[in-house]
Amino acid sequence: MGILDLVMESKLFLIGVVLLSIITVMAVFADFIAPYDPIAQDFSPKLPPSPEHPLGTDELGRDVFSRLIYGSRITLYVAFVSVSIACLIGIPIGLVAGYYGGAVDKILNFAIDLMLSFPAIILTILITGMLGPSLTNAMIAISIAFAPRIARIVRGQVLSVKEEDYVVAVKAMGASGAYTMARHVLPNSVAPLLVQVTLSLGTAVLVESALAFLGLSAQPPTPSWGDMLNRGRRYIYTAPWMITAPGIMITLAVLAFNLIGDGLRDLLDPRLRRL
Amino acid sequence: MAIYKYILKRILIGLATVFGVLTIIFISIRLVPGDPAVIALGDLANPEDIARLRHAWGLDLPIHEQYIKFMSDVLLRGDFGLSIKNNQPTMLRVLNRLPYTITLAVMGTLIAIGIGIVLGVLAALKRNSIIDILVMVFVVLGFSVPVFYLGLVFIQFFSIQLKWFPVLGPNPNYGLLENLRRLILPSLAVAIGIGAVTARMTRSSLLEVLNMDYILTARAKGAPESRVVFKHALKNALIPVVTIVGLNFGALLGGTVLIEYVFGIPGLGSLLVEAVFERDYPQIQASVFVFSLMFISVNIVVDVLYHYLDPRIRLE
Repeated sequence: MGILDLVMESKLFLIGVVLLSIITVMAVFADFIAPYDPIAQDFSPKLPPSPEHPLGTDELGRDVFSRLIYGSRITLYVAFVSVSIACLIGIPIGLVAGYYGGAVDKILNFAIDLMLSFPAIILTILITGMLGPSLTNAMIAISIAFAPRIARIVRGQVLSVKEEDYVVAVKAMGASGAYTMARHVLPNSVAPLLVQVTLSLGTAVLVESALAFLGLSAQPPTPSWGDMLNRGRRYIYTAPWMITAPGIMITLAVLAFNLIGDGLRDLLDPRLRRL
Repeated sequence: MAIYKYILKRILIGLATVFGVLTIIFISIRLVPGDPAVIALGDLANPEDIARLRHAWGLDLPIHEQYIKFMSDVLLRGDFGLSIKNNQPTMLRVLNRLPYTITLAVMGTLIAIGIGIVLGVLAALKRNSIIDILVMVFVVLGFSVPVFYLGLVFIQFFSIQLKWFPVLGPNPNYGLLENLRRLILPSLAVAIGIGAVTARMTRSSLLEVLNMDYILTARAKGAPESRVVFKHALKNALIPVVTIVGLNFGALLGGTVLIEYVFGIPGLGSLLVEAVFERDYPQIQASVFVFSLMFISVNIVVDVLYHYLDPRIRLE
């Protein structure tokens, strides 16, 4: 069975890809899709959904639909940038720990354990609390919280790959540690890493929207889904539409990454199949 | 290795972890851009107040002395210093708020395990049926929906529409029973995510166990199917479930912070969020530490329980 058949067979994976594509189109073409300026306050506050404002307006008279479209930008931007930085930190640490083993591994692994002794949300609140609430600081916090998770996966992968005959052979031929890692160990660790990165993107969306919900990420008037939910919370009796749309969007974004991650797991390595 | 030896070893590793976690919390105040005392008090504070706060926080000492002072205060006396907000010991404020968070976390965990096992067993027994599909939809959605949105949806539906529960969570003005009632909705919200993961694990683990030889033997001996499932299979199928609950307990604790915020519960999570906005750095440190301590302790219990339940595991 070819890869394409497998992809087609995995309907959930396809749903994930479609969802992510829609959100990406929203983010890229926000200027063309959004009917209004997302921060313009020129409408009556808390209008219920109508043909002019399909999702109503918020407490400052801003169009909820337009804010929702622009909000996808923050979500995707934070998720991709933070997880990329987490990879830049985590991959080398995982490679070195797994490849060299011994005392180096013991120290790095203990450091990873320590970072993972904080629940992710709590660690990001600690970091944004100290740095001060802002979009950049939320991204720094998420990167720091996710780096040990990436490092752990890479380390585990390296530990199993480095015992393979071809790696032992390359080393026997006199290749340096760095060369062996970059040329042979890393490429053969990619599959589980890709799965982990995709699932991390979903978790990053969750964590960012949680921080925004608490007021610790992008500051007003930047449109972000978590912040929209936080505002809507205060008008839950009088303007319930302010909650529904951003809540569903966050769920769909997380769902997209989770479905793609699970699908990739099945595609790349049937041995890892969980369901 | 005997179980008590393992417990002792696990506790020693736990203590080393606590030491390391405290070191990270100590370092974290270095992240504050500029002088923490100036930022906490504001630009207009008079220099004496700033000097007094710097002294109280030990910021006027060399870094290694700061570290020794911080660690010995915390480890010997559980003292993270005074809160800027009201000059109460930060640890006292944490202890006052903690009962709400612990009750929420315990109720959430119990509900999650209940939901997870019931749905997981149902899905496994009715494999590929409509029930199985519905459970899988619940799993996928439950894992993706943000807990704070779920809390708001529950308020909209159960509190505002059906009027079954009050909108606000518990607080000191109510008695114990009323407060427990007010914790039902928040606990349910906290439980859904971990319940979904538990259901998925229970399902796949039970399916795996049902394929094993000893189950075939039990069936061949003519044991009724209910006895095969509940007496023979489920007991072993639940061993990995213990681990998955432990692994996801951190996410559940993070969820309590958000749910306390949604339902206005005066727990440790709300204290942490308030402290962030008040730039009450010692209060942030004390609150984060207690959250980590809970997470570390639960993981020790889970590891020991896992070892106790599964004699096949050989311990290093």
